[in-house]
Amino acid sequence: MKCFIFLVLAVLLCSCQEQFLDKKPQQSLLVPRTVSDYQALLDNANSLMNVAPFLPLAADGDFRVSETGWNNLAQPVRSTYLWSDEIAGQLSDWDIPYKQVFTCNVVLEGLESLSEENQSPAYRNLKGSALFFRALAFYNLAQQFAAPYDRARATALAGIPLPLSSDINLLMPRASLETTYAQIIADLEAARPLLDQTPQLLTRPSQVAVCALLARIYLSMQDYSSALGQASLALAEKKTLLDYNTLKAGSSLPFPVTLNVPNPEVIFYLRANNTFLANQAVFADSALIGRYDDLDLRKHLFFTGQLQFKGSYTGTIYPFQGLSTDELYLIRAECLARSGQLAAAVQLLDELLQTRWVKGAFVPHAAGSQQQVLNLILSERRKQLVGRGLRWSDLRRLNQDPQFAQTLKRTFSSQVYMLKPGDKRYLFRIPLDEIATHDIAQNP
Amino acid sequence: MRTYVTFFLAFYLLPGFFLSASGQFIARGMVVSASDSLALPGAVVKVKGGSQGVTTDEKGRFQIALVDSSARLQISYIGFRTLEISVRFPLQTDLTAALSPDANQLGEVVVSTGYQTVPRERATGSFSSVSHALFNRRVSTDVISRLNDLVPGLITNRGTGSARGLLIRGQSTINSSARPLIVIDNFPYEGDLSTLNPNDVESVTVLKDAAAASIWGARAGNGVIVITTKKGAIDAAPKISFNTNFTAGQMPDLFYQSQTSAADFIENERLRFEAGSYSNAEKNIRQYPFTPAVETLIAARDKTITPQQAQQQLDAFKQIDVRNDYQKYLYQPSLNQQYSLGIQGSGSKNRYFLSGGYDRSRASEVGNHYERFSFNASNTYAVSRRLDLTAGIYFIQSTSTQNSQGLPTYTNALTGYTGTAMYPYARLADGSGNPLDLIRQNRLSFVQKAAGIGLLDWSYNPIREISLADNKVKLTDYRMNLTADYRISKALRANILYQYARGISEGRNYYSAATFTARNLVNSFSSIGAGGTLVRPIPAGGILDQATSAYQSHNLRSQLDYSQSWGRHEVSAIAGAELRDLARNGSTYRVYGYDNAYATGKAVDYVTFFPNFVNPSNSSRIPYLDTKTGESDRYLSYYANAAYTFQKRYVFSASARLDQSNLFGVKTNDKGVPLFSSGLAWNLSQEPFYHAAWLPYLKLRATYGSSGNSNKNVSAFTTAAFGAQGDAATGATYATIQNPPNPSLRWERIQTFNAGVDFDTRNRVFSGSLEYYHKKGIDLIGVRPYPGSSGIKTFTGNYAATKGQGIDLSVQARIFDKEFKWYSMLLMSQVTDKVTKYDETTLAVFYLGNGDGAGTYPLEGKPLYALYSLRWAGLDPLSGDPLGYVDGEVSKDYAAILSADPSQMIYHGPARPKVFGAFRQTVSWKALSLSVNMTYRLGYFYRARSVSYSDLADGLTVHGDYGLRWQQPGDEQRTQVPSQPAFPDSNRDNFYLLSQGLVKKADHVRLQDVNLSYNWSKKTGSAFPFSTAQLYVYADNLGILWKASKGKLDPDYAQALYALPRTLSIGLKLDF
Repeated sequence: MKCFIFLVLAVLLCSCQEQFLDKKPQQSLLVPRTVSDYQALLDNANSLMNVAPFLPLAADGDFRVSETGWNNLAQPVRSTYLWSDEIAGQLSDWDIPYKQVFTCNVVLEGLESLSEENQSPAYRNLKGSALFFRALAFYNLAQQFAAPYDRARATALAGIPLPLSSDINLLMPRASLETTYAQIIADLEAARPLLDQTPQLLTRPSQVAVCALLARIYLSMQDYSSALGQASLALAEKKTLLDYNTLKAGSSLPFPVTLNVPNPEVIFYLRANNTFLANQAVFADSALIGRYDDLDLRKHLFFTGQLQFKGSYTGTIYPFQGLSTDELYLIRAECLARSGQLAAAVQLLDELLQTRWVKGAFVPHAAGSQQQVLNLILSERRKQLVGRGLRWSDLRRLNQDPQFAQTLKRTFSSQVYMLKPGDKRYLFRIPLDEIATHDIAQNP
Repeated sequence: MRTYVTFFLAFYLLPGFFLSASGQFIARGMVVSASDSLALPGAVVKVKGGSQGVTTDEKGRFQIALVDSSARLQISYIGFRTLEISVRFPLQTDLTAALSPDANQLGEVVVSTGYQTVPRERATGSFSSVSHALFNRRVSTDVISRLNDLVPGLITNRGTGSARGLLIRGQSTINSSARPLIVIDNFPYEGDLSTLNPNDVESVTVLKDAAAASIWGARAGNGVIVITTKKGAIDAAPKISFNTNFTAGQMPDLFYQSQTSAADFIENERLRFEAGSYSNAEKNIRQYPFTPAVETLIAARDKTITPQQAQQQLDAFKQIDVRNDYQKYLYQPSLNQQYSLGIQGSGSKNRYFLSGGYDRSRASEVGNHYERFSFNASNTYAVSRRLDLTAGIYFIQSTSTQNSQGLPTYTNALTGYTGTAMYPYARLADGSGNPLDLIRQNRLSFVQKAAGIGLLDWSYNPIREISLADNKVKLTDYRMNLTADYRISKALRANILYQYARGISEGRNYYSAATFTARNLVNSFSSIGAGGTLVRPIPAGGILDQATSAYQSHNLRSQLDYSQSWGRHEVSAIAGAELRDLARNGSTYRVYGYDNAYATGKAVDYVTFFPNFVNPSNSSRIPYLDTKTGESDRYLSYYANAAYTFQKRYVFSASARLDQSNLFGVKTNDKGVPLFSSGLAWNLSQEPFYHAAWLPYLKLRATYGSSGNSNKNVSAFTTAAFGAQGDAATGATYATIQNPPNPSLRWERIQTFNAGVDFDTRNRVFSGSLEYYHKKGIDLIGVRPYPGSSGIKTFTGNYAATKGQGIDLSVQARIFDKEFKWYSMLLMSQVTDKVTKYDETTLAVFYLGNGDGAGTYPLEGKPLYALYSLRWAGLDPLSGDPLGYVDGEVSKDYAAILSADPSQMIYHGPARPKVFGAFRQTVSWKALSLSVNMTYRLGYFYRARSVSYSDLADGLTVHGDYGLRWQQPGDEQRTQVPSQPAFPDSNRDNFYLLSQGLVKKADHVRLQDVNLSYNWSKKTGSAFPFSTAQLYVYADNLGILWKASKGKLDPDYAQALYALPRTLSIGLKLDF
């Protein structure tokens, strides 16, 4: 009989194990368990989730720094500015996106463990959001630390580590460039059907945001037909433009604080993690300024008289890096032009530019050769999307085409620094603290 | 040998045949320990002059076949004196052989692991058991302090901070608890160990290596102390024992630590005053208090007294030393009384034990008392021939009164620091003993003015505060055990054990309306409202603070025991499963305006900020002290342990244990990697070729295995915290991850190799054991920099490592063993440890200042707690400035010296003894016995204190080295104490205080204690009313015999206010 009791006990011990060991060791621990707990993790917008890298702004040649100002900058910004080989001790541009990825993985795994009947709209939207944020973080990392996308060599080139689990013990190697982009696109495609049509907050992603981000990504991959498709899908949902004539050029920050007074163009809010462009020693490149007509309102809304940048769509001193309709117009126009639909391309571009010029001053463009149209669109792209961190990706992409390739030059301390197309400094170097503790290949 | 084995086989395998065919005489009986009547399994029963011999079974029973109708049986058991009894058939009853413990033995008889008992011969691992006699040689109210100097490898370190405490064989963890697992009556004990009454302890076994401890799995890494409380005796008439003792301690020596004289202190105050240091404080809105000397100087300056009067007052102050008053009014000799009464016995079907104990003590601090009641009952009932049921209850209640306020403090006017030690010329009472007020937070003039406008009296009187205090902690702790033991067959037994334990600690600190704390809090929040009325957000009245913490544990274990022998083979094995659920919860709360008579309080406004009465620009909320905490530890464990013995010479043992816990990560729980151990023992002296008659017992053994250590401060779960306000960008509720999930979080692992030899010389003139061990702590919890691509930047998890090794030696000698006896015992332990893997390094100052235990600052390649210092280049002969080195050059750039890299530090050695032990002599003649215990601790260091001129400049009492300071050129020949600088420089002070000259050797030899006893035993037929009686005198903490460094300080109490006072006890033990 005792033997029997013993057996019963042993069975009991084994069967109750699951719940028995699930008890929190400390009551005061907030262990995220519910959809709203996880939503709160993704709603940590200002200090984590809606924050993007800023170093491309220092490297893309659109802005210059005075010599005294340069001396006051932090080491990583200084060396990035001069395209030097120096390696940073640590980089927020590396750490923050991975922190976002980690948070997304925590949310995704947490949702996994919630029961099936929890497939509420909130649950689906949350899952879509986590996938979206993860893809965005991976994409931003790839723009700095992986080679520009090159279809022919994508399986051979190194991408970035792609942690897909919140287990910090699993340190991931660098995936190939192909896998990196495949993961980004897969995450976004998985997110699309789950997300709300229109977001409750501009800091949360939506279906339009997925299309807009995919358009940006396909463009950077030179997959122009896919970019065209995504941009068209997004514009079909949202194509509102802000008439710049309604803004006050004399204001120190002319654009509305979009989280308070929504800017009609903004689809998804994202800001740079640094106010680099608001630094008093940072000025727009005079050659860039020379490209703006005096009747082009952007010259006065984007820059102060001293050529300092004030045109952030965040409405604050933080540069805007989010998704907006103006970018979609430009993507669609470029893709139309590349597919030979020149008239449609110019018409779309003019539709955008109309709202950027002094009322009545804008003269519509005539469609010329494909080369001319593309040159026009790319020039307008640079002028419209200045200070958004997109120029860096554009340089990486366009430099692969000898037709558009260009060399960046800076004269600093009477020394000339150059960044030629295909230069190895189009890849930032991985910070030392990562390399020291994680066995992954450094960029050359 | 061969006949013996044949006999053995025949006896066990063919009992029926044997008995019927032989026609021999069968003697049955039982072997028990005379001291406690417990059965002795594995005792050897031999026929004197014959070849027959048997061993007793698990219950101590034996039967032996005799050739003749009368014989002499020789019964022996290690740790007991061999007994001879005559047997003459026919036998009326079964025999009972009661063996007397061999007083000189450590008593390694059977060792208990908490899961099973193992005879010493079959043990492969490192077990130390402490016999009843030795355990009771010392007098104390607690259990653990009695184990010091009895168990090789066990030490209570007395250094600084976290380097303090009980350790077994060094430390193999960095951030987790290093406390050994304490097991009481088969289950881990989670309560306050001070509640256990030593009089209820039957035996203590210390498990030191993997083979001994790893049966306790993920919690055994620090060693295990297995305590068994008293149980009923087998086949014995009721036995009543009574024990009482009185202990008195010396008055603590408050002059132990050196400090500046009142004259020097006042002279310094005068200098500071003349330099204008106090002028800012005088104007400060906070109304800081001034010492009487400064007030005198102010009065003289303001011409309210004459310079002559001022000088007279100052001269009078210089004659005072506040430490005299401390000794007179705040300290007292400690007193302790202990009583215990127990009864044990058995009926036809049951065995019982009942005891009650009462302890009462008065601490060295006036106002502190302690009182403890304990009650212990256990009953074993034989339900059937196969089934035994045991039920036990252990109940304790203690009350600790903590009315002492410690040494008085005041708010320093120059620094604003509120806990400043009282100035050295303070007086606590006047000539006729009337308590005097002292300064506290505010200037006397302000306190008087406040009273004038209706505030509560703001005076502070340290002596009166003690009598007003009402601070008690009541501890209730009880355990209930239920055991069912079922014999399935001769070889197989099943046990089910259940224990419920609960402990509640209730602290109640009542500040009556008259206490300074209550008056001060009420006053601080008071303000003058409109119309000049006094507003009191905190109502006048008492304040009650209550703190409750409780634990509750359920333990359930089911186990199968198997024990069988076939001829030359013996197997003994256990396997089982265990469930453990421990919950702790605690709460604190405070009631304002509390009226003790009606137990009512008043509501207060915790939300509004109220201006401070003294400084209205400062406002604060009424302190809200209500908190709640909850913790839960759950374990599921499976374990097995087996030992195989061949020819009684070769023993092979193995154990494995799998732990799962809610503290560990999911992966760890799922993976199910058990902790294991294995061991070998070789009873060399049993070999046929062994002929060393001078060394009749020799055993070699070796073990290897791993055990674990769990850390409750790290979590395997993802934890997050909600932002206090909404997100700055959107206002949405947001949360941030605090702790990443770590599904691989696991216990720390400690791998131990242990090799030992046990020996007895002929007649046991010398006996003992020598052990060597090597420990590796791996997967230790540590903090390290981590790659950002993981999502975190620092990782707290299993990665650090330590290494340790050592030797444990114990030798007992019987130098004389006739009517006059002289027994001697030497314990020697050597232990070293070092951190072998730790990635985080910090600045040298942290290692220098805190590496000795003030904090945990592991440095790779060094012991966990160590003494470091800065290189010293003497004093500047011109200025008396201390000189150090920067990049090998003599320098006075103190900031640069202090910011040195850790590699520039001098490493002196560990902060804990490398070699320690005891040397005990026991001489006895007839009934009189004297035992003297010397202890020694060697190979470690401590940092001596010295003068800090920054503290002096802040008007603080500083070290007496001030008197030895460099004052003129040439002084550098006689002193290393720097000159007093014109302007205080904290870097200069820090460099000096951390310099190499102040690190001292702590090596010392101590006369620990002396025990003198007189024993009476009842002679048959005498009228003596007791079976035994003992009167004893015991003196403890007798003093240092030798130490390596000069000076007055006791190296083990170098930082303490006073060294442990000597105590003297007198006691009586009676057995009826």
